[in-house]
Amino acid sequence: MSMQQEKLHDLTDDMFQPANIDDSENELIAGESTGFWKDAWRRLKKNPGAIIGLVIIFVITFLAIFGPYMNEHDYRTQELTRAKLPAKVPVLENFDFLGVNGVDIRGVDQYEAKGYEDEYFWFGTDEFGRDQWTRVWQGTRISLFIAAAAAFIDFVIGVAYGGISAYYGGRVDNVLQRIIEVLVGIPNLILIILAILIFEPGIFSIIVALSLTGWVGMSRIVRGQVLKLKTQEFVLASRTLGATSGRVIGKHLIPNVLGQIIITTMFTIPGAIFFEAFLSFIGLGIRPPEASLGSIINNGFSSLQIYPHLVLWPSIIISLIMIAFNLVGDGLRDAFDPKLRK
Amino acid sequence: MGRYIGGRVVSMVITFLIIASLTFFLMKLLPGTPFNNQEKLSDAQIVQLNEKYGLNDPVAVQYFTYMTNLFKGDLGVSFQQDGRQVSTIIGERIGPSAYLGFQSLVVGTILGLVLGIVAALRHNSIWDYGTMVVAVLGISIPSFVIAGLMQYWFGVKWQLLPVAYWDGFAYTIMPTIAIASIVVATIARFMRTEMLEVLGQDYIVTAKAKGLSSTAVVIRHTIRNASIPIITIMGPLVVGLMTGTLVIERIFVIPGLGEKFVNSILTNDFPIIMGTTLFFSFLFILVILLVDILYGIVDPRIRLAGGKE
Amino acid sequence: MKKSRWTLVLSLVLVLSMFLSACGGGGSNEGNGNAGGDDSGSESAKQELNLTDSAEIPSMDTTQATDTTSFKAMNQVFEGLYRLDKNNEPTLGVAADEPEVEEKDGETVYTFTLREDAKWSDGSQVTAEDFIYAWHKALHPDTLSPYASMFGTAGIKNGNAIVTEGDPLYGKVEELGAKAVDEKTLELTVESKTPYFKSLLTFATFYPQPKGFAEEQGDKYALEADTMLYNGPFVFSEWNHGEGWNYKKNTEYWDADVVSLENISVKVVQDVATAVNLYETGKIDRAGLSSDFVDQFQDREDFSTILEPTMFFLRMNQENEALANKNVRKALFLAYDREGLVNVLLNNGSIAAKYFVPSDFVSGPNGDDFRDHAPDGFHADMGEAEAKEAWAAGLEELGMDSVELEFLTTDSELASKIAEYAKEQYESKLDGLTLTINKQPWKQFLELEDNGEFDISTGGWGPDYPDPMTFLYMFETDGAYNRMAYSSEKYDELVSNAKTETDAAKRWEMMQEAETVLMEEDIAIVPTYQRGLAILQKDYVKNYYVHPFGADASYKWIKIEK
Repeated sequence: MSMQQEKLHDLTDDMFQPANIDDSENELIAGESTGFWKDAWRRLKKNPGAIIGLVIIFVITFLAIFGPYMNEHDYRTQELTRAKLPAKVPVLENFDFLGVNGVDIRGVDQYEAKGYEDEYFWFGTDEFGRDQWTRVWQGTRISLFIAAAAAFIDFVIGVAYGGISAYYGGRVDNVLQRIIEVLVGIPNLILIILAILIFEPGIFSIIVALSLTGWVGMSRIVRGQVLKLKTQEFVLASRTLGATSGRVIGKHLIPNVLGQIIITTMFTIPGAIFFEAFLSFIGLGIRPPEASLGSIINNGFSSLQIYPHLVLWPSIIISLIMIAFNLVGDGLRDAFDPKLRK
Repeated sequence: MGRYIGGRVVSMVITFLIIASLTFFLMKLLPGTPFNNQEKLSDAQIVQLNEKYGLNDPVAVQYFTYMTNLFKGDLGVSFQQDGRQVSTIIGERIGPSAYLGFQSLVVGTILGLVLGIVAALRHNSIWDYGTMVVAVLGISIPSFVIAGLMQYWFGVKWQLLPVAYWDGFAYTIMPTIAIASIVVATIARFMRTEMLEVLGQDYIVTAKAKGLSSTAVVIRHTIRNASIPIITIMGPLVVGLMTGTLVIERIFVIPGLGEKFVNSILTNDFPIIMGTTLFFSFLFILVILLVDILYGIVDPRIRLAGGKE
Repeated sequence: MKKSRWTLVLSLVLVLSMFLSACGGGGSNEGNGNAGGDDSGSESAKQELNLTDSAEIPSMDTTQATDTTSFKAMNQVFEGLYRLDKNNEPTLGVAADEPEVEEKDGETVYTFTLREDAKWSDGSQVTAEDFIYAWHKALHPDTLSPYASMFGTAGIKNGNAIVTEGDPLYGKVEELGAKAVDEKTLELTVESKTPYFKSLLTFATFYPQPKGFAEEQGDKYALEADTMLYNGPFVFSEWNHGEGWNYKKNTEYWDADVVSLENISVKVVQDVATAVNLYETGKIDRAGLSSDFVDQFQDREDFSTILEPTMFFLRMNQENEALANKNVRKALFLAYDREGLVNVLLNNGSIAAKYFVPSDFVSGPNGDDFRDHAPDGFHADMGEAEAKEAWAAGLEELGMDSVELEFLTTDSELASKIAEYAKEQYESKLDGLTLTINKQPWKQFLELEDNGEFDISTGGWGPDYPDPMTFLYMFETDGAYNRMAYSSEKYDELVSNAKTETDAAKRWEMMQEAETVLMEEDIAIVPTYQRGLAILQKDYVKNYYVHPFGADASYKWIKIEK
């Protein structure tokens, strides 16, 4: 600072030029314009957790779709002579510490003992001798499907309910909110269990049961956001210009709430996956021949200590899915709401 | 404040009545009959049993009877445990569940708070990342998987802790860890975010500027202000605990209410299902009410907003 | 100000937690200190046994219970005229002696004298009136026992009529052929003699109840440990519903000198893995195993298997057009690989069965096992090739090229596994067959099965008394447990004749022939396996007797020898 001050008197007039005062240039945007989405994406990219999460989701989804076709085994062929083989993967089998060399926890090479030296079951086999790799990815597919379907229904109902409630306000809002109050009064787990008991068990009823209260969270967030937004000037302006309610909701309110909606959805999915696994675990889940990650874990759980591979792989995958969605959800929240980030 | 609480209590009672009715009619929709070992029952006996439990009356009459009894605190008798009062059964089952739930909540909250605070104060350090990893794992790994692994390693392999049963403090450790993992994770995450936000506020800068020691700033301003919003997530957390106890009690052979609930579902013991549902709902509503009131006490803004209504 | 509010919140939390820990944690394990065992004298081993059960006790009222857990518990704390001994033979219980038998007008009258020293746990006498009280209660329409039919099965006079609605004797319990002549004399009149009469009397339905005490307790009788009296080898020292129950030796028991155990604790544990963990850490002395654990433990000395006389089979509903065809049924019978099922999936000592009356269950008049006829079962020499042949023939007769069947089963873990196995077995071997698995909770399963709403259903049956008839009577035309529209005049005739035949050897032949008709000629069901039980039991537990019918086990003679 002091150095600069000393140099001040060296300034001469020819070092200055008159400023070009043109009001229109003030309005010019110098850099490339960053919209809301672009900005969010830029921030998301800087979040390693979220990127890892996205990669995991991508890989797992890919495997859920194509995994079952990656080896010559199908999901239903039973062959009891090869039941409960541990995992064995080519190449990796040479590294003992990875635990994928076909040796069970008692130190016996089960492939050798059962006469399947030349076969590879990447995740091992289940109690019927079915290929666990194929089954686990089929299960993942169903778990993801249930979660996606439940999230979608939550999204549709939640947005509509919350939007209507907040936009119309007054008596409508009052009635709708009282209904929600009753719904959230019942612990959702209990409501889900009761619903499963009433419907025929299966994928469909699990989705319905999960959606029964799942949308409440979404509707509350949408309602809160819309309430905040609808009194803001741009909405007032739009209305003054004669926009219909539908246009105001569709063009102005929803897009502005979208960030929140996406974040909520990101957290709905792992929730749904967990509940599905949980229901399967207490015996109210998916029925065979369908299998979800939850029911596969449940089937193997009783032999966790003897054939850990039956539980290990699906548990790792379910945990990875949950971790990934949570990471992406966190990342998105930070990206959409930069003031939370430091 | 008084009016606010009064209003909340009234709406709580109404909510509870609606839930009770809803549960009753849902139960009526359920398929199947509740009698054990039907294989050996004759038709005449089933008719007679239906009579005994009032299952032959019109639904409206059953509903009326049910609601009247409910007001007297009478939840009916169990089908499976011949003739025992549902309220007695809930009474003898609630102890372990409440103890376990509470211990998990307290341990989980304290641990979560500590982790969250440390993570925020040592932002972007190894502590921070460690906490975040713990938090994500705690939320992501299903509690029953954690429970199974602990049983095997701590219980059987290393014989550090009793595998199962309910027989003193040592028996509560593993179930508490299994249930508390989600509490730790949730609270740590929440606390960290709140702390970071508070640390960025002007009044913290002011406090530092006026010469307060950083310990004082952290304790007197940051932690206190950051913990207030924790109360809002306590409601959902307590409910999450109930979910956790359902399977954990089963795995660790704990004679609690959650285990009874799951069991009664599998045996179609309607009175128990209804009784426990209502009991859980009642607790839940109560917790939400308490949380709101607590929040009103610690944060005057809420109280004022409530007073206006 | 702010500070005080926080203190309030905090102290509330603390108070609550203290209150909760006070009522949650402490105070079990009281009865453990006084084990000693002065009277056994033999060794200093603590006479204590720790067990688990998979369910809590639903009822301790002898007239109301229907499940194995209740019956097992009752067998330890109550006693009838007889009880089962280690060879599953009835041995004298409350009865002092074998009864005097008198034939009168085609009826048989048994006169029992009760023991002088048969006492309830409060020291009062077990009287003939106590038996009559319990039995009348079991038969009375207001308190009808689910097992009321046992009186008819035992042939006790008017036992059937009293529980048959519309019968002039309906509800008239005093017409039962059982009388208390005096305090210690019980007279039973039997209409039709059965060879298993005494075995039936060991059953819980025939236990006495302390009349005066039970009437005093009213609705509360037998709901808690202190609202009942005991006359068996043990009493309940504690009954924590859902958690478990503890027995302690009954000092008033007439045969108390024989009873070694001082305390038995039973905890409710549903999960097999948990039970095994408890066993491995020495918390319990006996644990049942599922197939996975058998792999782990089968070479150990404390491992053993028990073959139970419980049969599993598939019902084929003949209302279904395809299943009415005998060739189709034959194909289903033959295509099922039972070896894989018992050796890999069950792996617990169960054996493959192509028969219906179980092996090692009952012996005939000449001492031979019933199973000595057709020892390998029926169609034992045929296999997959014959199955395919029969299938093709069946389809041709029906003029179909594909068949869709619904496979009804329950939702237990094992049942689902077996259903998946059966589906794959059949679909891979019988071209054109599609099985749809319909998995239902137990109650719904029974309802559907009872209404005939299934094509194939999984059945299981355990004996109520030691006689093949407990199996064979199921498939009489329109029998309550037939459920699959099977009807054969020849079978009906053989079974009903066997019921009344008095010549034991002839009767035996009739029953064996009936089984042949059912399995060989009609192929009415597909038997799959006879259940085994794999257990771990500590070697210091001696004389744990398991029973194939009635109560599962007797603890009376158990000794701990360390």
